[in-house]
Amino acid sequence: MTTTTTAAEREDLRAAIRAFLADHLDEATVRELAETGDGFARQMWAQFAGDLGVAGVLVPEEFGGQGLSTVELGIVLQESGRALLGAPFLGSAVLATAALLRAGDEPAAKKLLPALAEGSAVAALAVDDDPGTAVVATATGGAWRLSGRKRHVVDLPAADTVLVVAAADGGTGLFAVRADGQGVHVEPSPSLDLTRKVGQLRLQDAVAERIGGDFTAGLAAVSELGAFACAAEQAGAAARCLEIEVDYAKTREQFGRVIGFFQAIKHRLAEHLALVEQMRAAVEAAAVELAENSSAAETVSVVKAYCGEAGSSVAEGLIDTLGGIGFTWEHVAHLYLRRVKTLAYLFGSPAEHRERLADQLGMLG
Amino acid sequence: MSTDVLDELRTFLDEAVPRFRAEHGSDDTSWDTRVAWQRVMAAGGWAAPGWAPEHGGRGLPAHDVLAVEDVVASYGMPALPGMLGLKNVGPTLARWGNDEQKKSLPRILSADEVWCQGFSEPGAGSDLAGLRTRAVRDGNEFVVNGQKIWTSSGMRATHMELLVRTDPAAPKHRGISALLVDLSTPGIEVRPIRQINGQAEFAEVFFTDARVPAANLLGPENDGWTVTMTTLGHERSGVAIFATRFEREVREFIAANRSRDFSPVQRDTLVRHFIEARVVALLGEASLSRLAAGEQPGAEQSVIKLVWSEAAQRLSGTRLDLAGIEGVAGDQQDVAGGYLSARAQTIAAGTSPIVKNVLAERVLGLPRG
Repeated sequence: MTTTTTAAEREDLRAAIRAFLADHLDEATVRELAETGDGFARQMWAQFAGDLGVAGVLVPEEFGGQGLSTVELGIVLQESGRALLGAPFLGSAVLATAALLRAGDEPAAKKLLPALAEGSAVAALAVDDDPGTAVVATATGGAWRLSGRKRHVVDLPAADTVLVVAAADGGTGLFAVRADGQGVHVEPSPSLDLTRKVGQLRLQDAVAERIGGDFTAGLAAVSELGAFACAAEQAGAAARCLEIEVDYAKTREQFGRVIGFFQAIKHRLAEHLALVEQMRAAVEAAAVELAENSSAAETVSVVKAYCGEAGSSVAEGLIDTLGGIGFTWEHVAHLYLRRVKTLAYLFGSPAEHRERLADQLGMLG
Repeated sequence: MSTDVLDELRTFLDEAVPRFRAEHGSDDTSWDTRVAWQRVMAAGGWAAPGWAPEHGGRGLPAHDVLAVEDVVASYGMPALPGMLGLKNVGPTLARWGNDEQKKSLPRILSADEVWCQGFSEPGAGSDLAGLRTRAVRDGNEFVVNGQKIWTSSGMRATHMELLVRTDPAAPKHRGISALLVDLSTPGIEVRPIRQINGQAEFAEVFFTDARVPAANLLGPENDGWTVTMTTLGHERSGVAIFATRFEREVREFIAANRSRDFSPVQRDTLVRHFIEARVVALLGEASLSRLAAGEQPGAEQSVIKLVWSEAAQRLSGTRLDLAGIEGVAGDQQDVAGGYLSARAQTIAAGTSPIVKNVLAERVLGLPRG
């Protein structure tokens, strides 16, 4: 869906989200949430979703959302990366919401999307199978049941509905299970990223509702959107990392001068600025392309591969610039490094996206 | 942009290109051939589509000029020989020149005047404002003494936009003036500089009591730095165009070589080049759109210069690497030549360390050294 907002409206959106997150998600709160099992600030989410309408950014107005495009979504994602927002924006408002929209199942959309958009319900999307125990869907008498394991499910611990991708009818199916349903077990995983929870889903003959028909194309589209979302969060997080190290370089003194006086520091920060500017430009271009076309495979792979490495460089370099203080648990730097490094491997690592590009460029024969 | 403009251009080229080739042949390394082509383009109103209509242009914004150049290149036609005049000096004259000085504009279009820029000196490279070529007022003339170096097109140029020091007592950015100089003036000697690739694309220019009419002062006396920045501003918006072209170059290189039996490491190296080129091109496109919307070139111009020049230099190394022994043992001399030429990428128009200082100090606000 092409963007319908003006540049000024988009800047207002960015400012509103940044102000809200500054008020409601300071570093102390981020750390408190990191210590919880689901990483989910229920009340903040209700306000974030309700007051700002952020949970419904992609949801069409007929289902209670804002009906905006990936251009506006990219802004929210950059801001959430910047603020280290955890559950459940990426899992619920982006991945599960996009899956529901792509599945093209009107009754299911009507049932689930309004609650997701207003923030009263949270969903997660389970894609990756546990090797050896892939989820199997069986239909008996028109009722579907799922068994098997899914891994790396973003925001799973906060979800009350889990959308599960599984082989069905010789293709791919999308199914919904209740997180508290019989035969549904959720286990948090010890993710590198402390500020976003992922989990493992164990299904034992769990009752499931099939959503839409074949989901093969839907899964490809949602995976593309997921890769874009990771890159957009990284662009926002890296921009914040640069601000932190620039502030530090202007105040930390050694050898009788602020360290930002030294060219070795200047040049590193200039290189980081170049990375941050390119990440932003690439993410914004991908957002426009995704908004105008149903697929933007090449650009998304470029952006995902690029931001995966550039974001990691900036966050690693931040710790280097900070020196000893950057290696402490108390400094926020490692929370950013953990976030951007984890995002680098969600929805395709840089190496996997480079391999896809090699294929698209005709180099794989 | 309206597709009408490009349609008009294609109609023009469909007729002009075959006629030109029939008349002049296809040796695009020949200076005379390239000058003749510029005249054909100028007659059609296509030599400087970014110039204002009253000066013989079409008033197109930078990204539309790029589209025009792309179409021309797709007809296999060479870059215009008077590019420095068309891209840099012309816009500066249009901005700062008086009516008499602006009379050069049509001659720049027709390549009757070929302009170069006399900026760098042996002692003023990265520190351009430290230039020492002196111009002393003597009646209605300036008497110029000093030396310029790394003057692009210097061996072919008929005229030079020359930066001189007119007030040695003033702070270094304030005592500089810009003079418009006819290079046939007595007291001016132009010598080629042989580069590491064996070619001589640059000149050094010596001034010994060369007398330049005071009427050739461009812009206010002692305000030549501001005048220069106009020119460099055009150079920097050109960088965004280079970035979008670089992506195409990498794409074409991969397309031309994709059936080769690359090792996985070589393949991955090429994909990395593609990613770098695509991302800097996206930054370039964003920059060109902002310029088209009337915004001033910002920090991203320096980012593009830094990233593009380093990426292009690395690509030349990869090309040589892929050629292997054939690249260095004479079988693929163009690849070796390209590798040598690319050393200039991180030196010309601001060395990489200087660009990083600019970004750190002017954009990030770190203390000046």
